[in-house]
Amino acid sequence: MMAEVTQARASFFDGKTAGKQAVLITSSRALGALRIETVEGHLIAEWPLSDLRQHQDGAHMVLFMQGDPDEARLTPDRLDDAKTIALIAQDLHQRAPLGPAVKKMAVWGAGAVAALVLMIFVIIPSLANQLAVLIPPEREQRIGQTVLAQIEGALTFGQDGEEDTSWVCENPQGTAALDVMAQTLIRDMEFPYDLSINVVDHEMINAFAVPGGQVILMRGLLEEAETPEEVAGVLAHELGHVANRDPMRLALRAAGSAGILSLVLGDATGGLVIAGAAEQVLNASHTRAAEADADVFALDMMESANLPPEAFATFFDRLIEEHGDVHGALELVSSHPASARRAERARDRVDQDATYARVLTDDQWQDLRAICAD
Amino acid sequence: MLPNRTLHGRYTGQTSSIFMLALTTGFLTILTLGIYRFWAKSRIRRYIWNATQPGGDPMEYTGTGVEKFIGFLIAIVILAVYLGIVQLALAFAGFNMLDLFATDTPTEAQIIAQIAVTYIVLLALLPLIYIAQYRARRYMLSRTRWRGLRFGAEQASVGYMLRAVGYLIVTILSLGLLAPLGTFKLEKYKTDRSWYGDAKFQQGGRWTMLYKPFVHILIPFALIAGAGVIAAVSGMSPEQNAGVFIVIGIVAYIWFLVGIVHYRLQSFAIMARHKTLDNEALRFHAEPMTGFVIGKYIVGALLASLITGAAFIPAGVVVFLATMIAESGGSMIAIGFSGVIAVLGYLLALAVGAAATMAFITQPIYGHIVENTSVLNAENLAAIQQRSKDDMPDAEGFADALDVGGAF
Repeated sequence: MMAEVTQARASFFDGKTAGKQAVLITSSRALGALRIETVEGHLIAEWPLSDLRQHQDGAHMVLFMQGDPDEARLTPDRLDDAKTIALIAQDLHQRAPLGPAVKKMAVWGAGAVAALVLMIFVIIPSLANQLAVLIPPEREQRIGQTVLAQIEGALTFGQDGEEDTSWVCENPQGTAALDVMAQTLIRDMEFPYDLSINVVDHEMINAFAVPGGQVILMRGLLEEAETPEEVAGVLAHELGHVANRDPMRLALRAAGSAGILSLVLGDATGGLVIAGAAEQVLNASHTRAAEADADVFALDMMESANLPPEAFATFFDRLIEEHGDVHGALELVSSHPASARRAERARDRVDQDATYARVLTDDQWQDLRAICAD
Repeated sequence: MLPNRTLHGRYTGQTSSIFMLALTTGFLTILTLGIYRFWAKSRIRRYIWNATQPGGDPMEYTGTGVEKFIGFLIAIVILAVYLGIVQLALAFAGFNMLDLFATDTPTEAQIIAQIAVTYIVLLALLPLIYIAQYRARRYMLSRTRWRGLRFGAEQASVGYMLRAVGYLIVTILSLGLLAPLGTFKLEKYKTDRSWYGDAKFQQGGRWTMLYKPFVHILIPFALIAGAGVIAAVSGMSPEQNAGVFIVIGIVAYIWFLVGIVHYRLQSFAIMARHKTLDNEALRFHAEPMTGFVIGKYIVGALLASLITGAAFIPAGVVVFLATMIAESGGSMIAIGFSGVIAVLGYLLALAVGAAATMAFITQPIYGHIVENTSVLNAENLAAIQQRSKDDMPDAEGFADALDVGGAF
C-alpha cells in the first residue's frame, strides 16, 4: 500500500496569533511535500518533506518546517495520519545543527574549569592564609578551646566517668617530664602563640594541634611508643603545624571550598555522594601538603636538638606492621602521606657518624607514660 | 465563533512512558557523571508539556539541553567566585564573632554560636536563591509555547528577590500568621509580569482570600492550645492528661500535614480563578481536589517506595558478598571491585526511585491539577499576537547550580 495522507483533518497554528485553524493536509512521497489547505481549499503552505520536523519526546505529534520564520505548528487530528506522515517523511527526527553553540560550550567550559581551579587552588588558599594571620592569637586560642571542647565531647561520648572532670591528664611528675621533652625540642624557638601541650586520657593512637597553639597527645600514643624519642618526633610534627598556623588556615580553606564542589555536581542523582568523595580528596590534598611541611619541620627540630631522626621512622614502621599502610587510591583520599614514605624520609636524615642524645631519662619516661594514672 | 468557549485542561501522560523516560535519562545522567542531567530535564519537560493540552492543543517546550549546559557553565564561573569568597569571609567573620561570647572555658552558647555561623552561610545564599528561582521561571516561560505563541516574563529578578526576602521577614516576625500575604503578593508580582504572546496576565483578588485554606494550618495549633487549657482547667490525673495530649497531638499533626497540602493546592486554585489575560478578555477556572491529591500521594508513595526498595536489593547483595570476601581474607582487588559495583548499584537504585516518584506521585498530581483547570472565554484567543523571543544565555544555570529547581 502506498503511504499517503489525503485531505486529512489537522489543526494549524500560524505562529502569529493564538487562533486555531482547522485545515486539511495532503502528503505523499510522490508529492515530496506536505500541503496545508483551508477547509475551503485555499492553499496555506506547502512544506517540503525534507524540511519537515517533529517536536521530540512528546506522545502527541507536533510538526513544523525547519527554518520557518513564523515557526508555525501543525498537529494531525488522527493518530493514523500522524503515523503515515512519520512513514513518508524521513528526516522528522533530524536535529537542528548546534552551530555557534559548540564554540560557546567550549569557551564557557574552559572558563568554568579555569574559575574553579583558580578559586580552589589559588584564591581560596591565599585568602585563607592571609585571613588566618589577621585573627589575633588570643582569639585563636578561644576558638581552639571551643574546637577542643567539641572534640572532647565527641570522643568521650558515652564513656563512663563523671561529667565535669576534664580528660586532660595532670599528675605532677608526668607533667614535669612532658615539660622537659617540650623544652628540649623548642629551646629558644619563637611561636606565634603561647604553647600549651597536654596529654588526654583516651586510648586512640593519635596527636593533633588545634587553633591557638594547643597540642594534644593521646594516652594511646604514649603506650604505643617504645622510646621517648618516638613521642618527641610526633610532638615535633604537631609543633610544626602550630608554627605554620595550619589548624586555622586549613579550617578557613575548607570553609571556602566547601560549597563549590557540590555546585558543580548539582542535583544529579547521587550527586551528593560524588561531591562528598571529591571534597574528601580535595581537602586531603590540601592537608597532605601541610603534613609534609610539618614532617620537614619536625625533622629539622629533631636534628637541632640532636635527637635521632630514626625514632620518627621506627614509629611509623611499627604502625605499618600493626595497622597496615595506605596505598594507591587510598593514599589519595587519606590526609596523611603514606607512612612508609614518611619513615623513608626520616631515615634519609640519619647521620651515621653522629651520637644522638636522649630526650628523657628512663625515670622521666616512666613518669610520662604514667601521666594519666592517678 | 462560539461565544464563551471554555477550554478544559487535558493531560494525556502515561505512567509507563514517563517512568521509562525518567529511568533512561536517569541512567544516562549517572553514566555521564551528572552532565546529561541538562538533556534529561529538557526531555522530561518536552514530554510533560506535550501531554498538557488545554482544549486538546498540546503545549510545547522548546528549551534544549545544550543551552542549559551553557547556562550552567556561566553560572559556575560567577558562583565559584561569589561563593568561595563569601563563604570564606563569613567563616572569618564567624570565627571573630565567637569572641563576643568569650569566656575562659567554652560554653554551650559558644558552641551554638559556631553552629549558627554555619547557617549564616546559607542565609548569604538566600538572595541568590530567590534570583535564581525567578530567572528559572522566566526561562521556563520563554521556552514554553501553546498554539504556536510564546510565553514570557519580564526581567525583574532583583525586585522579586527584595520582596521575597521582605515577606520572609514579615512571615517570621508574625510567627507565620501573615504567610498568606507573602504567598499572594509574590504570586501577584510574578503574574503581573508574565505574558502569553502580546497579552499580559493580571492577578486580581486580595491576599485575605487565602485565609480560607490557611485556616487548616492554624487549626492544629488551636487544638494543641485547647488541650493545654483542658489540662489546666479539668481535674484529670497526669496519666489522663498525657492520654489527651497524645490523642490530640496525633490528630493535630496529621491535620497539619494535610493542611499544608491543602493550602498549597487551594491557594494556587483561588489565585488561578482570580487571574486574567489580555485586559480581562480571558479568565481561568481551577478546582483541584485536596482529597484526591492526598490519596494519590499516599498510594504513589507506597508504590514508589516498594519499587525503590526492590531496586536497592542488588546493591545490598553485592555489599554483603563483599563483606564475606573481606572476612574470608579475599584480595583487595575483589573487595574494591565489588565496592565500585555496590556504589553503582546504589546510584542506579536512586535513579529508579526518582523515576518511580515521577511516575506515581509527581505526574498524577500534576495531571489532576491540569485536568481541573480551564481557560474561559477562549474565543478571544485569536486576538492575541506573537511576542519576540527572550534570549536568556544563562538559561536556568543558577537554579541548577544552587539546586532549587521545581518538581520537573
